[in-house]
Order: sequence, then structure tokens, then C-alpha cells
Amino acid sequence: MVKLFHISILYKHTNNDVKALKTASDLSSFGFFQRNSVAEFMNFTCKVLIERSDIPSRVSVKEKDYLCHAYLRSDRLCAVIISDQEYPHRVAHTLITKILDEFSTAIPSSSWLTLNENGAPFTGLDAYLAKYQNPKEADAMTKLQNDLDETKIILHNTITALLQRGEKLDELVEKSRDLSAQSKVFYKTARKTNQCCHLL
Amino acid sequence: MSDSSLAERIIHDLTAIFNRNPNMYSHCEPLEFDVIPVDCKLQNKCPVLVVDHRLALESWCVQHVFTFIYAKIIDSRLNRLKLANDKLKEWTRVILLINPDLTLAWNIRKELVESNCISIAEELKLSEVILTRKAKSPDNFFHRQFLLKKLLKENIIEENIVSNELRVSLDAASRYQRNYYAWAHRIWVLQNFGTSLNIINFDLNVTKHWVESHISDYSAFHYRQFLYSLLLDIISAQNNDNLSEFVNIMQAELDFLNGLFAIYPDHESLFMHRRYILQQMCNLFPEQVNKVKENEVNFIDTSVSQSYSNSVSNQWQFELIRKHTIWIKRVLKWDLDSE
Amino acid sequence: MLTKDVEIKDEYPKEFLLEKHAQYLANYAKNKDGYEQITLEYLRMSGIYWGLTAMDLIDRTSLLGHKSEILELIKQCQHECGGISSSVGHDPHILHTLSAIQILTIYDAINDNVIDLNKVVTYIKSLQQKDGSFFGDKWGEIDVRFSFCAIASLSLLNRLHEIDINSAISFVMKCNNLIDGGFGSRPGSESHAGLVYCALGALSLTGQLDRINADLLGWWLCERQLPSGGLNGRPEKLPDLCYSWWVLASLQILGRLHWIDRNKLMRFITACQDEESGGFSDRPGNLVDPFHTLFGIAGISLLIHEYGDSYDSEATAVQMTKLKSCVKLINPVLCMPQCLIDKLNIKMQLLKL
Repeated sequence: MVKLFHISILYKHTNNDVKALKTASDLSSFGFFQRNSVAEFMNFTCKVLIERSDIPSRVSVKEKDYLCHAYLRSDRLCAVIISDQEYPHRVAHTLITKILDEFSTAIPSSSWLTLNENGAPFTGLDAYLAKYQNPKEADAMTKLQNDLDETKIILHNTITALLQRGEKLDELVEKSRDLSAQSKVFYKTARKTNQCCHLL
Repeated sequence: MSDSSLAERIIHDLTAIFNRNPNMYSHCEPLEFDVIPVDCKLQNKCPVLVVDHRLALESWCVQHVFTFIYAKIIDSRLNRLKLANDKLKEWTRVILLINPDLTLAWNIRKELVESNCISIAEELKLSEVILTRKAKSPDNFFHRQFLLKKLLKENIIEENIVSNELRVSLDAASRYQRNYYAWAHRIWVLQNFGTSLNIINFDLNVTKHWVESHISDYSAFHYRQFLYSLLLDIISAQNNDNLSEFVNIMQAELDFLNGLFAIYPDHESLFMHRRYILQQMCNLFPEQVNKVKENEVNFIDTSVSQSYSNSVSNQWQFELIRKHTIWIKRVLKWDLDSE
Repeated sequence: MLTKDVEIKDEYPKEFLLEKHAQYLANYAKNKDGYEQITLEYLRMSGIYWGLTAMDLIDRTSLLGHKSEILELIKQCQHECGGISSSVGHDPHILHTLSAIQILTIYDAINDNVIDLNKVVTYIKSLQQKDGSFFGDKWGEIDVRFSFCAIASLSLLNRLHEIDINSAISFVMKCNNLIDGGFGSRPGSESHAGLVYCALGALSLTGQLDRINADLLGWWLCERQLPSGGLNGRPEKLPDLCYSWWVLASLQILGRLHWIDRNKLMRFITACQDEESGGFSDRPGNLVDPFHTLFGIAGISLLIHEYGDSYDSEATAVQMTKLKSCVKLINPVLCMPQCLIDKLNIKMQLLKL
């Protein structure tokens, strides 16, 4: 599926703490009862990703059917896009550059440090999420921004590959205060599902 | 509470939800069913949840309910227990929500449909609810076909039956990627309910939009090929000597595909669909082969140079082009090296 | 990175863990009352066939030790109509009828009056339709799988002549797609490697393989191999161990097994083993089950016995020779040990390139 699920704009403090300034999600393709947990996991993943990536850098991580693309700027402003595996990574990276440009124009950098979690008075993220569901929309934009140097994107095959020595994803999930008890059970159940393909 | 009285209470709650105005809605009701994973240690409330017309069961109770119902229906099948049809109906409904692979329960419901204890309309809706959780259950799609065949036999053919099936199968295809059964069902519906130019054009349009956002779903591309084969039958029946209309249609499909290649250069489904178009063009319009060939050589050259510049996905893209080229040489028997 | 495939990590098993698999299957057969077992009763007969065949291939059937119990179960599962069900209390179906016949054949008990064979034949005949297709059971689902089940069952009983073979094959050929040479579940359906296997099996047992475009189909089949070495069953699906059987067996029937990269596939298959519990899973790191355990072993059997003796290294040669001595040759059409098929003298056609 070609789908954008989530966009986060985040700020990475000098002590490596990460704060979300603004987020938008489209979770309509998930089962109704799973949406809350999915949303929590997307926020969780964005933070894990930004916490463990260098400033400045561009990162793409594949996790099962999802792709997470992150851009960490030198001024500590960061963004993550979570999409389905089929969404063109090039478009995603171009889009986060554009969004961060716009955000830093609209919201003065002096306030980034002090804004509350999710408290940036920035509108337009939802509109971006809706508009760029169809990557064709981004075609003109991508052509304009041909300077995206793809060889500089750091690629990881799983979230686990990002973790530091001794870190375990299971433990991060268990410890996380951003995840509800329900989401943690979802995580445990989903980790080892195995569909039997009985043909004969 | 004992296991069996617990199970009975849950079945009772679920039944009440399904019996609420069963015929009021054109869509299924509840709109969705799911099982929510819940740790045993958290269980302290009723495991049946209804939120915004959606139904869910907490996972800790599933085993109790399944085991309870399973034992009962096996006993009734072996004539060790006499069960009223109403009970069979309630119990098979619940066990199929939990496990739609249990063929026996579908069979029992088929018998209940045959003896008019369950209406076809009601059953189609239940099947739809079950598909919202398990979108690729082969038994469920066959159950629909069984019900639809009964409608056909009874000559109850309404316009909305076909459109409803097209909606249900696309919904299932959206819930489970590359859902073989959902697309095979869609084909079955058109084969059995008859097709018209209207339906074909309508569905070509629907699936065109759909594949744009489900780029790797080759089943959907294959379905478009099926629609084109129906279209070709109709066109050739109308005017046997002039297939030029179909040339234009294939050319339009190729243009559409080229637009997708520009954004998604490394998807096998696009290459496979391309093969179909090339084959159709070469088989039906031999006089055009040179032109088709020239275009294809250009396509391959452009793709190859693109795959070198595109750092992230070039390997797989390159592999797909390589396979495409071999296929062209082997199947279309074109000599590409001399170009 | 963006390819739909899995990563084969170095930590995944590389050696074939024969004794572990034997232990896994033996334990699985003993545990009949767990919740998982109850939820899988609807395919129990096939499950027994998977476990038994896998055990026979590695010559460990003695560990199962429940032959009389299984024969008794099969007896109880035959219904008045002649068909056999997955378990007691379930309804008869052609899938489980074939599984039961395969089990009886492996146990050399086909003529021991466990079931009424005449009735089985009557049942299978009753499922054939005017167009040659077969219903799966009395409710009328049509699928090329059922054509294979009918033809395979009757071949094992040496009574193939009792159905209308011509129309049966003409239906199978209607499921053939000219675009890729493959077969779908019904006329018009998308090609699918599992259904290709069924169609080829039906054509092989009736000597009709010359009707297909073996090069075109063989090419589509070997395109199922992904960079990880694993095989998928349709374009853009993840690799799944069971296709190591459906695709390989199909290629073997077509005489084109060597179109697959053996070393890469061997690596994928061994990576699907669970080092601790034994057994194979669909993909590396997932939960194991008897279905994938059979098809993992069956795939290995074809790769070691039928691929030829040209190895890339001395080490591979040693490994392959060792495996040859402990995994029996499998028949690509009936998915049973070849020695049994030879003993029964069942005729089938295999193409040669």
C-alpha cells in the first residue's frame, strides 16, 4: 500500500532528550481497536529513532511493512515520516525537508526549546499528510529538490539495528512511559505471529 | 464463574448485539470485529466491547468460548447431543468470528440456510463482519459464493448484489495485501452474474485508482487483465475486423503504467503487467510489433541508466530489468542485442 | 533494502538438524489435547500426513509409535458417502480423503480393510462435474486443488480409469494462464505456485504434460527465487518455506530443477529451522509447525538427490553427500518417499530438458 501514516516534528535537546513539537497521523487503514496503540507506537518509534541518530543526518529504517524516514538538522530540529513500505522514500525525504523549512519559518527557533510537548502553534501538518498520500502530488516538488543526495541517507534494516550495545527493544517498550499497558500487550502478541499457509 | 457459564454469558452478549435490528443496515452491523490482546491478569470486566458500532472480544476469553462451543457442535454432529437450530446458529456465529477456518461451522450454517433458519441477506452480512478481521479466509469467500448461487438459482438478481460484492471484495483486498481469495472472488462474481460494458468500464476505473495506491498488488493488475479479456471478447463480438479500438486501450494502459514506473521503478508487479500488455500488442497487432519493440528498447535503456543513478534501490531494479530482458528474448523472441 | 524479502542472518542455523526435527514431530504427535491442537482439528488428517511423511523421509517413523491409533482414527473418519473427514465429527472432504490415502499407503495398510475403498472411489467420482472439475465436498466449491486430490487419490488406489480423465484434464487446462504459463485456482484466476504444483501433478499422473509451455512456466517459477534464496508463490510476496516444495517439485516435474540457485535456497531452508525446538517455520525466526517441517525436508530431498552433482566447493559436496545418506528421495508429484511409489508402480510423466 502506498500510504503515509504519520509525520512528527521533534526537537532534540543537547542532553539527547527528544520532544515532539507537532504530530499528525492517518490511521484509517488500521483496525478500529488498534488505532490508539498504533498511534502510541508511532510516537514511540519517532523518539527512539531521533534519540539514536546523529545531528545532522538523514536516516531511513525499515521495520516489517513500514518505513521510517528521519531528518535531523544541525539546529536540532528534526522530523520523522512513517509510511508504508511502498511509499517512495525519495518523496518522503523531500517532503520532510520542505516541512522543516516551513516550520522553522513559521515558528521562531528561540521557542523550540521551551514549547510544550505537541504544543507548537503550527498548522498545516494534517493538510500535508492528506495531500501527499498520492506521491504524484509531490512530483513537481521532487523535481525542484533534485539536490537530495541519496547516498548520504543512512539505512537500517530494522529498528533493532539502531539500538546501542546492550539495548533491547523489548526492554525499551516495557520501560516506556509513552506506551499504555494495552499497547504493551499488543506488542507482545504481535511479535511472534505466524500465519499458517495451508494449501493442501 | 465456571468456564461454561462464562462462555454462555459471552455468547449471550454477542448474540444480543447481532440480533439488534439485523435488517436495518445496508452495510454489515457491527461494522468491524476484532480480538484485542489482553493479559489474563488484567481481566476483571466483561470481555465484550462495543464502541462506535464496532465489536471486539478480549483475547483472554477466546479460548474458553472456543473450547466450549467446539465440544458442543462436535457432540451434536455425532448425535450425542440434540441442539435446537437457534442454538446452532448462535454458536456457529461466535466460533466463526473467532476462527473462520473451521469449515465444519460454515457447513452447519449452510445447512441452516438450506432449511431457511438463516436468511441469505443476514448471512452475507455476517460473512462481511468476519472478513473485517480475517480478510483472506477461503472458506468465507466460498460461503458467499454458495449464498450468491442460491440467489441466482432463485432468480433474485438485483443490481445491488453485484455492486455489493465488488465493494466487499475490494474492502477485503484493502485489509490484506495481495489477497488472492478476494480477487478470485471478484472474478467469480463477474463470471457468474454476467458482465456488461458498463460494469467492465466501471471496474477498470475503480481498480485503476486502487492500484495507484496498492502498487505491489499484482492480483489487482491480474484482475485488470481479466477485465481486458472480457472487454476484448465484447469488442471482437461487435466488430470482428476492427480491433484498433483495443490497440488504443492497450496503449493507454501502457501509458498509465509508464506513469507508475516513473514513481515506482522497482516493483515486480509493474513489470509483470507490462509483459501482459506487450504480449497482447504483439499477438493482436503483429503489424505494430516494430513500433512496440522500439519503445520497449527505449524503456529498458532509460530504466538501466536510472537504476545506476538511483542509489537506494538500484540492485533490485536492475535485477528486475535483467529478468524483463531475458523474458522478452525468450517469449517474444526479440533480438535485443542487435538494437 | 526496499525489496520484499527477508534477511538471512549469520546466526541462523546452517546444518540440517535431523534429530531435532524427529523429536519435534514425535512430541507434536503425542500432544493431542492442547488448545492449539483443538483449534487445528479441522486439518488434523492432513497434519498427520505432514508429520508422518516428514518422519518417513528421515527414517524415524518408529518414534511416532501410534500406527494403530491413526488407523482407527481414519476408520472413524470415513463417512457413509465414502469421503473422509479431517477428524471425528467433522465433514468429509476430498483434501482429507487424499491425506488419509497417503497415510494408509505410507503405513502399507491400504488393503487392510481400514476403510471401504470402493466407497472412497464412489465418493470421488460423485464429486466430478460435467466440465471435468471436482467439487471439494458436497457443497460445491471448485478449485484445481481438488482435481489434483481426486487424480492423486485414485492413482494411489490404481483406479484412475474410474473418472472421466479427458474432461478432468480439459478443466485443468482451462486454469492455465497463457501470459506466464502458470495455473490459478479456477479459469481466469491469477497464477499461484501452489496451484501450479496441483495442475502439474494432475497432468503428470495422466501423462498430459506435453500440453503446457514448459519453458514459459519454468521461467516464471524460477523467477520466484528472491535475493535471500527463498521462494515466493506469486510476484511481490515474501518468501515462504512451503514454496521450496511447490516451486521445486513443479520444476522437477518440468525437468528444470537446475534453473534454481541451489546453494542460496539451501541456505534459506536451513535458516528456517528452530535450533532449540526443532522443526521448520515459514521464514527465519518464526514459529515452527509440521506443515513447514515437511516441506522444508521435502525441498532438501529434491535439492540433494535430483539437482545433480556439481558443487561449488568441496565443503558443499561433503555436506550434500552426508545429507543424501540420511534423507530419502521424495516423489515430486505425490510428495511421498519415492521407494513407496516405485513399489506400487504408479505411473507418471516427468519432462526432461
